Amino acid sequence: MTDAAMSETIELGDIDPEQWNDFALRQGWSDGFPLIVPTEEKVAQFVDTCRGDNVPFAAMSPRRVFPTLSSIAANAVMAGCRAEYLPLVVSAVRAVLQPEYNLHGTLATTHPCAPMLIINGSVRHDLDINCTSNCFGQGRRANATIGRALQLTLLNVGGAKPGEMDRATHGSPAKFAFCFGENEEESPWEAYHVRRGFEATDNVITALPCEAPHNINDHSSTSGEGILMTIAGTISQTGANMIYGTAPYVVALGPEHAATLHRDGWTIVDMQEKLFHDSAVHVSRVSRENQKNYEEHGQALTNDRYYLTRTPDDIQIVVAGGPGKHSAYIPTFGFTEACSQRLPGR
Amino acid sequence: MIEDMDSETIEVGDLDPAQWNEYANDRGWSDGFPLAVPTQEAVDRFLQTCRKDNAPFAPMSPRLLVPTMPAIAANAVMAGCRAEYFPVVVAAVRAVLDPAYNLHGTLATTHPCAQLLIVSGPLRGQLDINCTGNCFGQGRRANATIGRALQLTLLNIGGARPGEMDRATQGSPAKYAFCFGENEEESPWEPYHVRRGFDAGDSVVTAFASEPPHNINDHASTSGEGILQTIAGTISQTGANVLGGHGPYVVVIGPEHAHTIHRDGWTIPDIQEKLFEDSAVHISRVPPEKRKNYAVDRSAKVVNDKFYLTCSPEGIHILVAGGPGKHSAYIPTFGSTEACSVRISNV
Repeated sequence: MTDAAMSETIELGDIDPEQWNDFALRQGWSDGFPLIVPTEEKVAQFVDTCRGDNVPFAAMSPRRVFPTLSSIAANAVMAGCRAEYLPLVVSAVRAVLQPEYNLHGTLATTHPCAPMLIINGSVRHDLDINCTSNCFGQGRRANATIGRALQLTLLNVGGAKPGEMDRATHGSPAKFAFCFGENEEESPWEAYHVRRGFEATDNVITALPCEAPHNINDHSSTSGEGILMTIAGTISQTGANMIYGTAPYVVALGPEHAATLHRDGWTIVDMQEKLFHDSAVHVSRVSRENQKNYEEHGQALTNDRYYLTRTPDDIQIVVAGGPGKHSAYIPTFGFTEACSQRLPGR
Repeated sequence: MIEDMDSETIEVGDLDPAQWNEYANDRGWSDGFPLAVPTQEAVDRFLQTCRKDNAPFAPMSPRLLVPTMPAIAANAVMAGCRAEYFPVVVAAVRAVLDPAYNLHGTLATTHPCAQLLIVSGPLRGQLDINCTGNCFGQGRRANATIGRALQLTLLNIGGARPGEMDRATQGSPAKYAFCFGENEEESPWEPYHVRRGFDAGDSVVTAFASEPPHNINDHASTSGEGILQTIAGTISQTGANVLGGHGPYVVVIGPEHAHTIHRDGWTIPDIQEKLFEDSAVHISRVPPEKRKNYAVDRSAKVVNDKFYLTCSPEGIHILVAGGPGKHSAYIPTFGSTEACSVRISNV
């Protein structure tokens, strides 16, 4: 490990932050925003937070380089992380390296997907991770820099350079950073990680390659049934990759919508079943050439409809956000799985 | 101006970049990412690029402070801009201060809208603004920092702090930065800014209060008609604010889709007309209470039992952006807003 870290060290001489940024941008190390200088001292301080984590990493697509704790830490420093965020960044890296995530596919595709991170457990409070108002957006260092650290690692270790090995036609702003915590405190249901088989006391990070969130505004419906109709009508789109019916998608319910749904007796399983059926896309909305294409790929029509996931269980429901009558639909890349990683310790 | 600057200047002592970032983060000046230090020297250098621009600014919502050039420049420096991006940032600030934009509404709302900036004209090449592969995403300094400079200006001058005066329920990652250039070179139609009445040689920034992009994948359709069916089927949603039928929305067509649609003879007005009709949402898809609220209380446009999503076909803003690949994007707006364009000065 020491050797690898040493061979990854370069001497830059005495440069000011602006010169450093120009240099780093020219090297292609940045997403466009300013980077902190990953000095040996800072990297060592970050790596210290992961002492005892000796599990090897798989090779990272598309370049197939093996990440090291030091190279991940250097990217976390550059992203603007605090040292104490590094265990989450390392767990995020491990999550996207799970084979089911299909990292190579998510990076080499023309689809705009970004690696979205959902965080559960008490670490949300320890690290001040935003789970409430504007949790998908700007303003909180942990959300911004943990999401960014993963992206910079994919760029600088994995080699996913936009226009080169990252082939996105348009991409999306979610590729700057897309990381939030579940609002477990205002969720009327069991926490997401517990439903995925972890202990309530575990800290868990779940990664999915996703589009940016699609807003679901429903200020009028006062029943769970009404809100679910608006949600299903938002999910029922012809252009998202979910039309292939091969993968999970995410519905992030705002706490106010969640409270109404729960009051009306909806369980997670009920909602999954309802959305599975009501979001299916009628064949009349799909172009003939697409119909033919889906048929050739063995995608069956059921009741003249394309179902957007394999099963109701594929629909990942979480609660996030603050006051307001909004929820979000977050379609995935389509050829992927939700991959969760428990943080070491505790 | 000098006096204004002096009164806005503070002495922070000798901080290293890490200490500066802690300091700025603690004061709530950041979006969470590292900030460059807005030294007086850097701010002066940025101001040099806008020396002839003396038009006054309107007060900026929600706090209703009047922005000054040095204050905007300080935010552009912090965002990581190069000095030569500054005229674009200033034009973007003027665009969102246009009353038709409804800045206060876009910031105080629980809706997730961000300020989308579309840059047209020759400046795209001069500033290396990405108009092709991954143009909505990371990787290009101009796209990232121009979009971010506007957001930091709204935070630090306007006072739009998330959870306080920015009331977004969930927000979106587009609120970090969402800025791209039209791919005029691969567009088979007239450039967007020319269709909006500017000269082809003008450089123009157009601002929209919008959601992040919704992807439109169509790898199979080989006709313009087929692609437009997929686009309309993506736009036809029940949850976006455009269901109210008042605001514009944006369709960004990838160059490959654009080529097929153009080959089949579709003009921009044809496409607008087709999407206007085919994206309308049938009332049977809208829950009864929402139907009543929108149709009765908000005077949404319901014709033939359908909610029409814009006032007219011209409310649909069509342009070409992106690189290789069979994707386009639907970008819904906040609804109670207009597209606001400003010519970039001093070019």
